[in-house]
Amino acid sequence: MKRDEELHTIELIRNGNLELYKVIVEEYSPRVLSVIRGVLPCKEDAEELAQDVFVKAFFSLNKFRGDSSLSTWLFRIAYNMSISKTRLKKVKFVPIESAQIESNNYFDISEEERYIKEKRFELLNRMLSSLDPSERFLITLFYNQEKSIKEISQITGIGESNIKVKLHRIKKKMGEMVGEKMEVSYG
Amino acid sequence: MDEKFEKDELLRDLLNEINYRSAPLSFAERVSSKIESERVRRERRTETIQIIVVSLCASALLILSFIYLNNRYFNLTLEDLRLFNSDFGVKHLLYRVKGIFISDGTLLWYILAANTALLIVIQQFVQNYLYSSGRIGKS
Repeated sequence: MKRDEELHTIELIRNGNLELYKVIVEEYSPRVLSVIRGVLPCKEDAEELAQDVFVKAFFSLNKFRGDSSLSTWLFRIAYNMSISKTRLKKVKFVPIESAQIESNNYFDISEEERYIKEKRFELLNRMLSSLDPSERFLITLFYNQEKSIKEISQITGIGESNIKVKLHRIKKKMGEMVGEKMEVSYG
Repeated sequence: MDEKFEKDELLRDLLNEINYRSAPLSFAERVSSKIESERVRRERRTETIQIIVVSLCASALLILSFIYLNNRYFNLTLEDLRLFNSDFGVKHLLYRVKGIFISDGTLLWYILAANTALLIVIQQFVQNYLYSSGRIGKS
């Protein structure tokens, strides 16, 4: 959705067009879900929270001034809500199971491919469980959503230099794990 | 540098596994229904807040009017309240109250109050009649 179109749609939603909000939800929910899934690996929890993010966004639409993109604004809400949820509930890391991921055609692939996939998920879970929720959010924003340091700073409210340091540390930690594991799985 | 790039790509590729390609089934519908429930919840909350504010204002008004009436007519003090426990206190108090409520000047106020009460009763009757005859809709 183009920026002008986005702002016009938001204006119409503010005037009470709930049907148009469904378009926004359809468009942005996969991206919001992906980042939340990084923080809350339990599929049901992640989907529940993503729904709450869109509900909160709907009632806060008047506060959206259009300084940043809608996705950045939604990610900011998602970040705040998921971090407070993990703080509140002390959410334990639940390993992501490959069959849970809706985009996978898990049972259509060969046994060998499935084995590789299992190994990849094992590694992914190991990597994600070694990070705290806020680090998981940062890394998914950076790699999955390809957000710039400036945008990540806008979303999380953490200074740019601080984010660079954090990302460097996370990448180093994860890179070591990838290197380690690759020798076993693919080496 | 190449190794760093390769690791970066591997990380990106791995994290890509948790990406959603599309919204889960009926996700938007569930969001819409949550919005509706939240809207109702917020309306109820606003209504409750309004009731509380009105009740507080009414209570404050009532207390102020009591204070005003006391200062203007009764002039009751804490001492009077202590005396209320004795026979003399009750008699004294009743006498003062009688003096305020039953006098020549108060007759006009009784007529006004009776008229107001009568008007309220008539208004209720007319309203009920109009509702039942369907001339005005129920809100």
